[in-house]
Amino acid sequence: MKTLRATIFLFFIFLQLGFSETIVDSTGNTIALSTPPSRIITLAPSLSELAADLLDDDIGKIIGVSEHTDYPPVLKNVPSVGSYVRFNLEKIVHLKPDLVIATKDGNPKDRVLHLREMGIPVLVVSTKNISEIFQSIKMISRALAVADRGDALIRRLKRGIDKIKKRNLDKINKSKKKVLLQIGDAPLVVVGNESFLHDALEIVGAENIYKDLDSRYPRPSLEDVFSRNPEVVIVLSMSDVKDSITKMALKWISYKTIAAVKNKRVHILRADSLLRPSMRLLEGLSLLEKTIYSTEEM
Amino acid sequence: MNNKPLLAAYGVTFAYHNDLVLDGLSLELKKGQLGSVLGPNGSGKSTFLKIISGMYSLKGGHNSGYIYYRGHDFHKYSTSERAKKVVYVPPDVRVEFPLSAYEMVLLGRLCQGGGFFKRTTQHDRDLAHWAMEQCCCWGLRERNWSSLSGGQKQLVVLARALTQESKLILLDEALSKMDLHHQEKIGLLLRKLTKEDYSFLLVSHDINLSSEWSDFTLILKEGKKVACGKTSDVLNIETIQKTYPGSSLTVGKNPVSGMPKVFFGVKH
Amino acid sequence: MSSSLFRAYVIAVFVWLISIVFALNFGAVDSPALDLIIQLRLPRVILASAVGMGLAVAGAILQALFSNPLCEPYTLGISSGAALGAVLGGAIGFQMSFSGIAGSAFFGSLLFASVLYFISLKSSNNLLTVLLGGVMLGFLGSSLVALWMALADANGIQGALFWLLGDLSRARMTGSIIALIVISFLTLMLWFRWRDLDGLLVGEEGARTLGINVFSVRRTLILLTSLLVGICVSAGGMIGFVGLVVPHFVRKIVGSMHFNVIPLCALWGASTLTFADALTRFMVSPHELPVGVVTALIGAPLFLWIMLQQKERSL
Repeated sequence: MKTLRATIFLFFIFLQLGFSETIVDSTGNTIALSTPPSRIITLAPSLSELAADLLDDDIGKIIGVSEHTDYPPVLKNVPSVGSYVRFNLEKIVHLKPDLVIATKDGNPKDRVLHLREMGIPVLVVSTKNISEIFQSIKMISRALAVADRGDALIRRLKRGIDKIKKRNLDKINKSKKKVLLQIGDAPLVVVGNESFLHDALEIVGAENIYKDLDSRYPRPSLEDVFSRNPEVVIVLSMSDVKDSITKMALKWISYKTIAAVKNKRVHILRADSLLRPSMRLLEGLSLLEKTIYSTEEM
Repeated sequence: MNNKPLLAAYGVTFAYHNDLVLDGLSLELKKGQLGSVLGPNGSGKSTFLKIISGMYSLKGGHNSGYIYYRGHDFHKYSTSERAKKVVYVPPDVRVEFPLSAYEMVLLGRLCQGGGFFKRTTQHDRDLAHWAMEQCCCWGLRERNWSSLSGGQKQLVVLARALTQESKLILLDEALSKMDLHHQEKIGLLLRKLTKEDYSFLLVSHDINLSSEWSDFTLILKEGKKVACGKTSDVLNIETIQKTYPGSSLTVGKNPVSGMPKVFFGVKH
Repeated sequence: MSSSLFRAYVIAVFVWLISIVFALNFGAVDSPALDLIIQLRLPRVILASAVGMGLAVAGAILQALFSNPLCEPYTLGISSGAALGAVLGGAIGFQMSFSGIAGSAFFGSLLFASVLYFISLKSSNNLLTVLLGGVMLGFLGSSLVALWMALADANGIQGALFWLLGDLSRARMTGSIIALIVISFLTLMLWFRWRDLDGLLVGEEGARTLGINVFSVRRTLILLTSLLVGICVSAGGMIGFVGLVVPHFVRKIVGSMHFNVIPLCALWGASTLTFADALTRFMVSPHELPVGVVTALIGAPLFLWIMLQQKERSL
């Protein structure tokens, strides 16, 4: 009995020793981990969701999250380190993490650098398009020592996305809808081609009327929207605030020359599922697809 | 030696924005003299004084003339050297910050220069005390500058001038706000100081103030000399008429000092 | 030194030390490790003291220079140059690392300072020209910043916005110490000129009668003060009211003689900003207020009170 226990013990030690990860993240920085991290802080709700998904039962390893992290619900009880655009350095340092996961899209670069300067390993991912999302899942799963779960997730996502793509293949030529994805008002903020949301549109067989703009969230003038004449306008809401979102959508009513308004194709869509690189991504894509290609009215 | 003027201006012509303000003025001030520059408003008295002190320069297009201090071109000296030789006393001083009368007087010691740590020495403080006593404002020393009346401020500024340790002082309407009592006291002070080799040049629109205390008088009209010489010689009915044509002012004498006095000459 | 003056200095130093202790002990986290205090809070405290000192002294100098108690470090538009440099640096890709943004901000402020210096050379007779020149530079700078903000990506703006409102959170030990040394040096150089500054109390013409060479003094003061403001704004963004309000209070305590006004402004400026920065960290934890907001919230009512006092006097 003793020898068996000793062997199992040694075996687990081996497993630990066997873990040695060196990951190059999206900023070109090398993160070297000699043990699987057990005190993890995630600096964006999407990252928390992904990490929770990958860690599964080990979700307790997440000891700090950014504000407004609400999925999965158990993360609501984890201490917040501030908003993701201005997370609090003191809170993070105080929690003594052994890995912090940040995103290029939203986290301030200077603060991330500051964390690194204090000796805290920070893995920075980028989620500009689908392939980068897959990359981030790969990087994060490796860092969390659950590489196989990450690969499995990527495979499932790829299958799901391919299915949606096939469904909408015929639309590539015939009835591809021209869509305006709006995320803000006063000033008008839309989605350009450097956001994953643009990829989402392509996947569901739609055309982003701002696919030519090389930026994430350009702010065109209303006149410009008129000239591009979208057939569908989708107002994306990232939170629950209903009134302002409804107002944004209602603002379009008076512009009857725009095709989308004429044909009553202005929709509101709850977007957080679209922005999470987890299985919920597929939900979000289906929702987007239905919104554009069903005959729902506003 | 006493014949060489301490301060002399020759042929001063000055134009301000193409308007001729002074035309060929000359003046000589000897040690121990108190001179006056008189004239109607806008006749250029103040400008003349500022040129003499070096505040205005005679360089440039329409300007000409020389200012000599002990025989040297006065305008060639630096600002701080000039302040140590000739003190210009302005008619009023505006201060936007809290300042006591005593601190104002001590500002006169700034031109003495010195190192970083050389602040007020005992000598400075003694000088300030002496100056303020002479100018009847020692009692005001703790008062905030902005709380002083116009006349009180002029007493303090005069005291400041005395601390600059120069014996040549140019007074630009510097007694104009004082009450008669203080004008008398200051006038007596100035005369007393001339016996200690101080020299003064007083610009005033108040003829009687000048006529009472000065050794010689220069009368200006529209930038030109009307008359210049010993006060009792210069101040008479003819020059008054030349300066203020058609006026009914008359000239008499102060019964106590014998100095000329100008009176309103209309019975009403 | 008179006893009341001595007392004023002792109180000023004491308050500063208290502000440091306060700022090191209070923050987003209760009972932090010593490491956290040294790595995160100490650099901020050093920077806050340095920038507070610089802004208060710059404010005092500019008020003396323009004989105007309403002047403050942003009057001459140097800060707009720094802001412009910062946002352009961010756009080009210096991307918000401390030296990157601070560096480009400083270049911007240097550029505007040179223009201002040039203006002061050309307008030897007219102080008003310098003032107007500075105000115009300020407008130019802010308009260009606004233009950039209209054109740029939403993400870049967030970061720049925080910096513009006053942000000491970038403080690193090396940078903070460098800032402290440079600002102290410039403050000393200005302190040495206490005679010239005292002379300016009676205005430019009056100063001339006291023997001050106003043209050269003015040029030097503008140069030194522009550098000082440039560094403060580069390091901490636009932090208002410190440069306006601290000199007023200091003069109420010790009068207007600059030999005492400058060091006391330095001490009180340092304390004020250190306190304000500490407040930003624990008032709405875990969020941080931009420190410029805190100084404005405290400074604006104080400033109104000063204005009312001035009115009473002139009546």
